[in-house]
Amino acid sequence: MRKLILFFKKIYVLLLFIVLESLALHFYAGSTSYTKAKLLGASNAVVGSIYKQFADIGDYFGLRHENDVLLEELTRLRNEFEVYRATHRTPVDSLASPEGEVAEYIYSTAYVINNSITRQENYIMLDKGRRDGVEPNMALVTPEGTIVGYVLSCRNKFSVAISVLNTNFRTVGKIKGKESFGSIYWDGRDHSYVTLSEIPKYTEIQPGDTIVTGYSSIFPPNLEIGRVESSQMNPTGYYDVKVKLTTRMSGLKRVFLVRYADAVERMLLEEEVLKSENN
Amino acid sequence: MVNRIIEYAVFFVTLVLLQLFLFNNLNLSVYVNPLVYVAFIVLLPMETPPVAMLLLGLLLGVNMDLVMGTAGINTIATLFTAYTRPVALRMVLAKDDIRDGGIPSPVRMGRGKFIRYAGIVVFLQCFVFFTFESLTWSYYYLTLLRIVLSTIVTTILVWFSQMLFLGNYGRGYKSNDR
Repeated sequence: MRKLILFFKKIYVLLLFIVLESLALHFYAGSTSYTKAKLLGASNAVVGSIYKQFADIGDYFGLRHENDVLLEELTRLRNEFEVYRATHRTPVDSLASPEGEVAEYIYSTAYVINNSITRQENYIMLDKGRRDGVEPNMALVTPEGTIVGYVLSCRNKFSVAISVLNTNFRTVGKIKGKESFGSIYWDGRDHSYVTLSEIPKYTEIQPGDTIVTGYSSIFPPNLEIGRVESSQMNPTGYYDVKVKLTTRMSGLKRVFLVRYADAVERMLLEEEVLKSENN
Repeated sequence: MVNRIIEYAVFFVTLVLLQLFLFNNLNLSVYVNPLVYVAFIVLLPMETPPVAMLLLGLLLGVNMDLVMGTAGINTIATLFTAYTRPVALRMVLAKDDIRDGGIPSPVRMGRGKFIRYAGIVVFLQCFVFFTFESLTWSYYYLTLLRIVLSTIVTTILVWFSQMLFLGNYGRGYKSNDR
């Protein structure tokens, strides 16, 4: 009897360990990027304002660079605008408040208050949330126009976005000026490179070629992703292209949030097509 | 006794905050991810009942999962470490020394033995954490590199946390326990 009690005493800790561990495993196995973003969002509601303080302090040191970038962007936009005005001869005031015409993409800005690059699944925290009109699936773009990630989950004042540097991140990428497109993903190894896979073997790829976004329901097309570093034929007869990211993910401060105005319509259309295919 | 619980509670909170606001934001490299919070498990008294070890491990892991948004990896790793800590102790110390109890500190164990013991505990934590984080065998040598480098950096940081926690009290605890 004494031995039996001793045995249970021993086994009871082991049992507790197994039960707790399997609960944790169960929860982890059932989790998706969305659950993780939700978790981060919830804890952010508590610590977000502290992150924001830290980010604010850090921002002072980058102001000069930030100004240069914004000025360059402003110059580029002015030039583009001049070209547009010259060709279309539209009165300026009608451009400022377009009537009837609705922009396809709507931009707003946010600050990055926390960003990791060393984990396998990296997320970016932003200082704007539902209150400021942020919604899931808005694209994150740098002021220079290169991709960063997209919003997964929003709270009132903060939101959490999936980073390009997340092994679950996927988007459509293509070689600028060519037709073939493939899938962009991060293999979790180096924070300055991503992979463009499934590029057909007849495509000519040169190191230094620009890789841009293809058509997706999140990113506007033709945003720069990076430059081709090298390419390799994989056993299935497709190229895997190693792409050096143009965005410096470790130094993110300010991002543009881009909302695809027709996202809902596009999604409904895609669902309709899928449904009719199934029938 | 009550004093000690308060001190451990303060240490717990300090470690969680340090991990959250300092070590998670260092962004050193994909291969170096210090999991400093495991210092709490390393420094729990040797006489802590196994059930209490598990529950404290659960509390620490769940906390880290919530703030890091990792959905379970921290809990899986910390529970495992909390459960297997007696093995690490047995690998370094004689049975009698373990039975005497007390905080596993460099003063109590000797510097070399403490580093070996802390290294084993940290390695177990990092092994489970990074294996589950990558969840693939395809680049396992890279995961191994991540485990090894993070173990080294974390062990060094555990050494500093030990100084922070025990400080001048290190000697005091030893004489109290005897």
